[in-house]
Amino acid sequence: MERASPSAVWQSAKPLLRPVRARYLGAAAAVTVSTLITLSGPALVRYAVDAGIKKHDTHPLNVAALIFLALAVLKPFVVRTQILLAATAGEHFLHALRIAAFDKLQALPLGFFERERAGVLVSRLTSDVQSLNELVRDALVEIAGSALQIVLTMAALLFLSPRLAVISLVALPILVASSWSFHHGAGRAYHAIRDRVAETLTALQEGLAGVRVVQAFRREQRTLERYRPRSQAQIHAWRRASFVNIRLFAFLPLAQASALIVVLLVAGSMYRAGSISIGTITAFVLYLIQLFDPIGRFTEWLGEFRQGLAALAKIVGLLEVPVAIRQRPHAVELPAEGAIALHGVTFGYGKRPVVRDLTLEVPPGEHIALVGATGAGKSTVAKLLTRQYDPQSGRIELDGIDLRDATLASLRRRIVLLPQEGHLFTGTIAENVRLAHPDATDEDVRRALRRIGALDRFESLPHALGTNVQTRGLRLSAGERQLVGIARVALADPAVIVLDEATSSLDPATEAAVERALAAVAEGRTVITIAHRLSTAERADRVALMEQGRLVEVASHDALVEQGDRYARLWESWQAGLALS
Amino acid sequence: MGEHDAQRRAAWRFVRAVVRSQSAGVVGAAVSGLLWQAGAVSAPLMVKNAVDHGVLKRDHHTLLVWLGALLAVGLLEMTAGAVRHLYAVRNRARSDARVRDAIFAHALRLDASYHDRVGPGELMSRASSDSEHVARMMDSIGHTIGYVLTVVAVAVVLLVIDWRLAIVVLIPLPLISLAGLAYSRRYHARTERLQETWGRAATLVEESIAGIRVVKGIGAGRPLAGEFRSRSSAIVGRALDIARLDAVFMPTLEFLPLLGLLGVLWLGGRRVIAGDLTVGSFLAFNAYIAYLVWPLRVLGQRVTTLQKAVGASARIAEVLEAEPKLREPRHPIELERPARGDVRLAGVQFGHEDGRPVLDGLDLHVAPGESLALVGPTGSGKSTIAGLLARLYDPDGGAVLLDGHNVRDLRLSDVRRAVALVFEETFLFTDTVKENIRFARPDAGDDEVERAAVLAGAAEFIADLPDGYETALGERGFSLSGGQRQRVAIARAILADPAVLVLDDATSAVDATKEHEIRAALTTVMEGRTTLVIAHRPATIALADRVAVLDGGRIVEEGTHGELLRASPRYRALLALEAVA
Repeated sequence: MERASPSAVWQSAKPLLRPVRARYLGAAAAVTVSTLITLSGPALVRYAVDAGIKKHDTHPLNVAALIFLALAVLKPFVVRTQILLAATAGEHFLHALRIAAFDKLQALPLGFFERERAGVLVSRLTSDVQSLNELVRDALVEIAGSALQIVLTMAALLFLSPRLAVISLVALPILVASSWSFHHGAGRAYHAIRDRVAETLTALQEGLAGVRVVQAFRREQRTLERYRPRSQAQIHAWRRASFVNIRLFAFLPLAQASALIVVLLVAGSMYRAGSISIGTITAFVLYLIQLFDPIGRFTEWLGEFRQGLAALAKIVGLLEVPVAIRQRPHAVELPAEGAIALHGVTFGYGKRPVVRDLTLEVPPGEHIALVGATGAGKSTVAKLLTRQYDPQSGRIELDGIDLRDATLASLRRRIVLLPQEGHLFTGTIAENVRLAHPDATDEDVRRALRRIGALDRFESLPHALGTNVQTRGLRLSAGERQLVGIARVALADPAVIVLDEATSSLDPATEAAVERALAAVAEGRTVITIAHRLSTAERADRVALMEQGRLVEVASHDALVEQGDRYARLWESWQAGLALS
Repeated sequence: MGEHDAQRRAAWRFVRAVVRSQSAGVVGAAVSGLLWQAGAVSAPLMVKNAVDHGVLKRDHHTLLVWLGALLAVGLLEMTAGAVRHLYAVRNRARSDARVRDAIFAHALRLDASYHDRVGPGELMSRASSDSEHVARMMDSIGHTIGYVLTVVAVAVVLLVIDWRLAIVVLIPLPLISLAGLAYSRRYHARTERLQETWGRAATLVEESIAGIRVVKGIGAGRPLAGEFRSRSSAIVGRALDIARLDAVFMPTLEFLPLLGLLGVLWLGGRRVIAGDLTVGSFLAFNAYIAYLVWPLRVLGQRVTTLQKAVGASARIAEVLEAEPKLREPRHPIELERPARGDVRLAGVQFGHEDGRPVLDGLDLHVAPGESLALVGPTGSGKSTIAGLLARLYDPDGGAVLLDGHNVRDLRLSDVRRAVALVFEETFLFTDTVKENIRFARPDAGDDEVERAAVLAGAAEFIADLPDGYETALGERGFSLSGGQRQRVAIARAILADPAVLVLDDATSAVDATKEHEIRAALTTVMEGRTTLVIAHRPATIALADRVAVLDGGRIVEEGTHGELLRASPRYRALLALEAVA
């Protein structure tokens, strides 16, 4: 996962910004109005002084005060509008970014998760998004507002005295040099912070997820010792960033002082020569002082902007990870017959193919067991069948339709993978079963559990199906977790089940329950089992034996044993192993 | 309400503790913040003097003197500003790390019953997202104190110029503090709610990454994305709740100073016309008030920064103030080393949260060096006994005795050194195979690690891994099969060389055909070591000297495998041997 280039960041952010563009423009308009109100204050004072006070006339003073009052009353509403628009736009943008990132995670193949560490991914969706908060809510609007103020103030300076205005540009080289040097270092500094944050969170995540093992072996101290350097590294990253930051705004007072000094020197000689009035000098100096206020805010927010940009680049880096598995245009719905066919399928993760020229037809409703040694390519076939990857050559069809021509939604509905571990989410048993079908009713959930014969077991829990799976002392056993997984499949009602058989042995009663559940859910569906036990193969309609990525024998168990070849030898040694145990 | 107040007090206590922990940095930030704004506030004075005494009097020398002073003040502002920023970031990063470190260290101290309830996603969210709010508050301290100085200094200058007018200007100031006070509780409460929604979103992210194989297999990506959308929307909703507070509070902050300005314009103008005030003073007044606007606004925002930090602190304090249920004894009894390994459970009661008993007056004794197999149906409390022996939990009644001492009277670390527990669910860390085994005893040599691997029956497959013992394992040990993971975990426990070894279904995922390979190894391991085995395979159970059958929360039968097999139909049924035979 790379961090994205600035242009990629912009390309990815653009479509997410589009829906909130109008709100941002509204916020920018509001900030313009509020800036104009702020700037009109001195103008009103000037009018009151010149037209009223100096002439001892209260009327212009009253007029100025009234206008000022009107503006003062107006301003809170403008500011309120700006806050609401910017906040709504910003929050919706972040929401869009979060769900884009989450959707992306769901679209990435399993291989990605084997490479990337969970903590890093979590930090992309939480900490990185959160550090964008200031950028999208305040920075954009503040930068726009202060930029406007800078421009207007500079216009006023030019209007008052072009000559002094040009002279005050002496501050410019300082500003340019400091901001150049800031931007030169800021990217790297802030990216380093995001990287260190991700590393710290990864260490935290692992320590917390493995807390039981850590405690069981009294490794609390060591776990902390391994984590601390990362936590410290985050402090150092911040420290380096702070030294980059001061390049930007520490020089502002110097720039301001030098501009004022030069202007006053020149103004002094101009005044001696009588070419400038004291009123102009005063106004000019006041505006010049005022100019540096928005410049200060502008640069401060610019720092915030760079910080946010670094986080955004990380998230976009995730969004930019290429996804090979995409839905083709004009993709079709898969039918629900359940005839699977592999034609000359070849696939490998690197250069070496793991599955070679595999051809196999499985009629609807057949149960076939894939057997073979570890590394023979069984699990890869499972990944190809569920389209975690596409074959490099050859094709896989369900009911005559190439999986690549099917809609992803129908593919996930028709073909499900039942992995050996039954992962549970925080929540109740019912919610866990409902995982694939959130709109399934309680009755649907009960029906699914009843079909696999596990309803009574879960109904007898303290709060029946509403029992929280985290309750103390009630961590579900491996077998019960598997039952929840099988119930999910029953609820999903697919045409094809790819079953990664559990290697775990359970207590016989649960084992029997799991097997009954599997048999119930398998009924009337095509089942391809990645079999780790030959007893499973024995029960299947047919057995397919894989060796080094190739299919070497396919027939019924009995026929293969009869044949007396490779499968028969495997079976023999399995029997011997069982006898030993 | 009382509980809420207690929570609020805890939150404030925590905020104060964080500030105190960085006292040097806070003082540094405060001093540099004061100097920084002292420079900023006095710059206009230098300009004023330069104009009045230099430019107007056509006195080049005096002009140069004041401009020199202006340069000095600019340099002061620059230096102090830079130092202030460095301190601000330092305080921010250090307090962030401090909060995070404290949460992690405390979480590692909290016992299993806490972690059963609060998952890693939730804890991570407190250590990053909540901590961020506290960090931002720490960041703002120097800034805030500097601006307070500005407000005070400007107020003094105004009072000196014309105290009556100054009072009019300053009336809004107490109103601003009142507004801040009025809103502070609401900011606190709403921030807490916002942070809760962040915690829920982070939990879902963490869990769906941890269970990604199940999620992908069942096609739950889309429903989960739907759930994430709703949790993410909840964040938007709660964040906008806060924005709505901003939308009332911030405009109020902008409006109140404007009232002061209006008062100056109108009343001051009338006083000038009446001849009570000079034009110069009137203009100076206006110029100075301009200096109040920005600091006042920032100070108002700091109210929210602080309240958000307090809101987040409530959630942090909740973790830090959670007491481990397992308490270290005040005067621990020394456990002899090495422990003999005499294990006794006497009248042990243990119940679910709802009071349903799991263990109901259980008595069990395992003599030093003896091995005992625990057999019983799912949910009979076998794993609970394993957890009690390693003191992951304390019983509700009765006692767990190790070498004749109640484990509650022993140092927790002594108990855990004496008792090693291997869980059915294996957790491997992102590290090499070697380091994963060495986790149990970091000072173990390579030869010891390898011997442990041989004993656990893991040496063979480790040798086949691409880099042998140096092979890096993924977070969830993805690249290893369930059985291989379990064997690494057993090797880990063997390396710890405990007096009591508890294998909680620890060979369940080891392939039945391979289990006999490690059976010989297990026999060696069990020799001379008190061992409690929870298993389902008769051959594994038969390794134990004695078998205890658990049902209804008590031991119902005891004997050797052979005796029970002969005498107990219940035992035969449990092992499902009836059907086979």
